Amino acid sequence: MSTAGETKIAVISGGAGGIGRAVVSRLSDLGFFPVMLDNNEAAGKIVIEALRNNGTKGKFLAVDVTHKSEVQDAFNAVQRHSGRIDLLVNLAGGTLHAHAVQDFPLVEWLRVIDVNLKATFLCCQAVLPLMKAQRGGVIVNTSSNFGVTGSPTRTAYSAAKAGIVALTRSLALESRSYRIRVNAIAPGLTATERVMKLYTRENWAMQADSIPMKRVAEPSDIADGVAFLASDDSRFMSGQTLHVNGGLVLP
Amino acid sequence: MGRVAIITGAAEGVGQAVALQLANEGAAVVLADCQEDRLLKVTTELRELKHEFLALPTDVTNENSVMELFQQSLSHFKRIDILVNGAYLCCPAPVEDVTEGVWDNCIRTNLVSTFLCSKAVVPTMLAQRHGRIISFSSVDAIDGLKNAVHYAAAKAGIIGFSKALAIEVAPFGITVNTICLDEHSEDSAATLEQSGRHQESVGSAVFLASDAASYITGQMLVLNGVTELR
Repeated sequence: MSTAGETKIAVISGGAGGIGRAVVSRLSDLGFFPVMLDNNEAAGKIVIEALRNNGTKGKFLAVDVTHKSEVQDAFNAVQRHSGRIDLLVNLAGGTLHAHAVQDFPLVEWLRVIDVNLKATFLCCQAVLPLMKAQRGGVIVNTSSNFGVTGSPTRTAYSAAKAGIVALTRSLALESRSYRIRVNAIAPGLTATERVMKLYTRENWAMQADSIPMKRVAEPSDIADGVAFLASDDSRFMSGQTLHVNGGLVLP
Repeated sequence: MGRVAIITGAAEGVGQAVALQLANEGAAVVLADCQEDRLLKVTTELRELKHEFLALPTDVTNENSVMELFQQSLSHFKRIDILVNGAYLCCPAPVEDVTEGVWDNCIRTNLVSTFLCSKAVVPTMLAQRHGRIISFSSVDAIDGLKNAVHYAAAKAGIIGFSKALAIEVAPFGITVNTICLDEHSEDSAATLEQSGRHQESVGSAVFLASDAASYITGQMLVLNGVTELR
């Protein structure tokens, strides 16, 4: 981070995941210095290696984003090192567990809420004092079409993703006088390894066919949406959710 | 870039701002508006910047006029990649004063024009297997507004129309989206000039017109400028 003060600093939670890798690469192309917070150290190293091969740099911090103290330490470290954070992208999350509601163990239900909703809250909470002091910043949270439509066996995930929409709106209102914009992106079905392995080849093709655009999202489609929300092109947008889903859900 | 964009309501306001930005980014632009004198002013600016353009006086509420706009554009540029429905009319009035004439005029200028222009451009976009349709709605369509029953209804109609069209043409590489502007908020009026507010929405329109938004369709971007409010 030797060019601090010129280079914009982006913190990406869940930056080592399938969508995360595309977002990190896109933000790096746009001149951001990406700092990844993720618990998957092996995957994180691969992302850093890819950045290096591309002639750029980034940083990986092994963090469990559901733990307040770990999150706080990570943001303190970034602040010490770079002095500022221009962009926070909260990508950490996932379905994790899916059961009919009567069979959903409480501990698993809470885990889904924590990984998606609480992690988003903790990262926002940790970055806001710095962004307020800077009098500026952009936050992009990750919701899902399931946050609007719901989904059988996904009561926890749907609740968490709807929660992120409401959290995003509230935070946008709360921080508007500091020139901090807070929006969410809601990816539709996206071709990441983690998601694809849940489907047979046939089933995957059927899913794609059920989408009006007749294809699933590539991680780069989601990265393009994040890049828009991070840019000045969206400077009059805050508290909103951008659905990138090929027409699957039109809220 | 080689893209061709038709912008209605291009003689002023948001239509003009979007047209200029698309031209600045290398698109050939067709400016359509019923106000010929104002249209002339915009074309002077485009000519000075050496942009490729056509300016066609058009009544977007008249199907023949709209057909002529699209035929002339197509024969001149050979393709149409982007349609921006920026034609717009707002005449505030309490409901008891909204005569049938006022109602019809408002619905025609805002909503029917969006239908006619989209209908005219879809065959070309289907043949190209590529297209972007961007229409301007309003936060009033979502929140409602006093003395604007006709306007709110027309602008809400644009949202419903766009969602339905989005599903219809999604398999063919055509996206259809709306941008909801906040034209009346006292807060934003206090902080931003009229032209400035239009400028705020240009980036979003250009994004929706770009390849970066190829998987976004049937959506609305609400630009309420919440961070600009004090």
